[in-house]
Amino acid sequence: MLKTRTGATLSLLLADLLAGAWRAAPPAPQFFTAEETADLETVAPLLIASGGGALAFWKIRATTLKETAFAEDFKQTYRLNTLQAVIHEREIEQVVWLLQQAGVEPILVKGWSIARLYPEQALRPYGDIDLFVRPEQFAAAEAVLQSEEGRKFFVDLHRGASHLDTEPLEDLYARSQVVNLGETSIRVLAPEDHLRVLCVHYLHHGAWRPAGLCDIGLMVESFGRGMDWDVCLTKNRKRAGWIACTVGLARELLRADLSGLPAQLRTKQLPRWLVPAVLKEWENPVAVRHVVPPPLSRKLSRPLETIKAIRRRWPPNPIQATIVMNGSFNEWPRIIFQAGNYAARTAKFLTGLPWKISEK
Amino acid sequence: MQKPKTNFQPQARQEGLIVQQMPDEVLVYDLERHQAHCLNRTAALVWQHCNGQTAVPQIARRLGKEFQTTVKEDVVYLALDQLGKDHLLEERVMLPAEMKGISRRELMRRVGLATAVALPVIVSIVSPTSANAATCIASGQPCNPNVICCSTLSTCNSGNCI
Repeated sequence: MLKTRTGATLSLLLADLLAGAWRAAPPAPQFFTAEETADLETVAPLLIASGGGALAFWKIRATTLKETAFAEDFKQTYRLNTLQAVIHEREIEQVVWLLQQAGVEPILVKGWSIARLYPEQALRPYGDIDLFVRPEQFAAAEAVLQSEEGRKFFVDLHRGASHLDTEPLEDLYARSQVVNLGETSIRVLAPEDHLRVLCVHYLHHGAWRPAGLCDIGLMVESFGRGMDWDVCLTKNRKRAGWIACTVGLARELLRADLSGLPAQLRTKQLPRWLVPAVLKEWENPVAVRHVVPPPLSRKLSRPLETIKAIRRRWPPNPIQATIVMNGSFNEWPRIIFQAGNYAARTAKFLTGLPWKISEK
Repeated sequence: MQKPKTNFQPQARQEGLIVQQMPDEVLVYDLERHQAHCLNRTAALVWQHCNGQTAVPQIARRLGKEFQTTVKEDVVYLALDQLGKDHLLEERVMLPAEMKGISRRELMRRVGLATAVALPVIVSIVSPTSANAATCIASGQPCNPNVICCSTLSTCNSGNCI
């Protein structure tokens, strides 16, 4: 756990480092004490590992911090991201073309579709290509991706919008936009839908990646004023609350400019537990801590590992637990959702246990 | 090893590379070796003049025009040596006899003392970003049981998403 000598978490330092970093001319960081600069050395590897290194470089490139050793690490990340962005663009062109040849019309979400909005694509790294496809085209899409040509791409294929959205898929298609990437036309979500999907995705992963919140800051500052907020927030009040809270997090932690946005967003009071929960996640933003753990059934033959695996699952991330349990972001204690989430997972595990044992 | 050639005209590698021109440097990704390099301005200029039709003395003169100062052939050879080692030339270049058998550090020192231009530097770029930015692993790629495979049909088996 990263704690400063004063007891305050380094997460706030990290938030300051990323505040407004998505802008063409980002504001200068507000920390300049020697102690804080030294603390940045501790934060730097974690920030790089969680995809925020290039944004940090962008933020400090015109400040005295650019002479520090960790600034060079940030710059290296930026350089590598620059090259990877070119490679990814080629891959996206190829994979979308392959799918289109097979009669599949995917919608590209996250990844390039958000990276293209940053001042430079290097600022927003991504590893995989997220695609929504119509359920009736899912099998055809999967066949393409299983083919010799398709296997080389990192594609996260979604049947419809899967867990990321509840709006009718045809509405998403109807509002979607077609943008050109090289010689290929790529379908991307309308900003209203994209922001909603980004918010839900961010919360669904427990808000662990600091750089992920920059996507929200970028979207609201780029499109917020002209956006149809009725479409973005939908009629689902609970989801509207999730989105408002994520936008509120971008305002509170990364100083996103919400001027011109509806009052319900600008003045949204975040539940008291939310910011501390996010900062706690940011204390250790390492990918391996946040991936789906292996099924408990794999460890049944090793009791000690089973106990460790059970312990690792408690307590669930309060943000993630709320989303999975379809809960509201209010002042109620999160333990309700955490316990509910834990119980649901345990029940699911126990229900499948006889089958798992017989399978072994 | 190559035999030294007189009037050798180095040729930059064209295939299997992604090149990005930045304000002060050139970034190169080798798609065959999956290695990334950063060339400073001097190294990049030498590389850009490696068109298979320009000999080392001419490259040195062209560099001199760019930098508005005299550039010795040693600087060009130093760049070519490193470009060759990083597989950015079609053919590796043999150093002249007076530069052979000397460590790169010593070579840098000697050439550096005799020139006003920045020495050619090529840095390998290494960063953990991409691996950690991915939320899933593609089929056929190395994995471990803690990371999910992208395809719903894939599982992490024997160290790979299959």
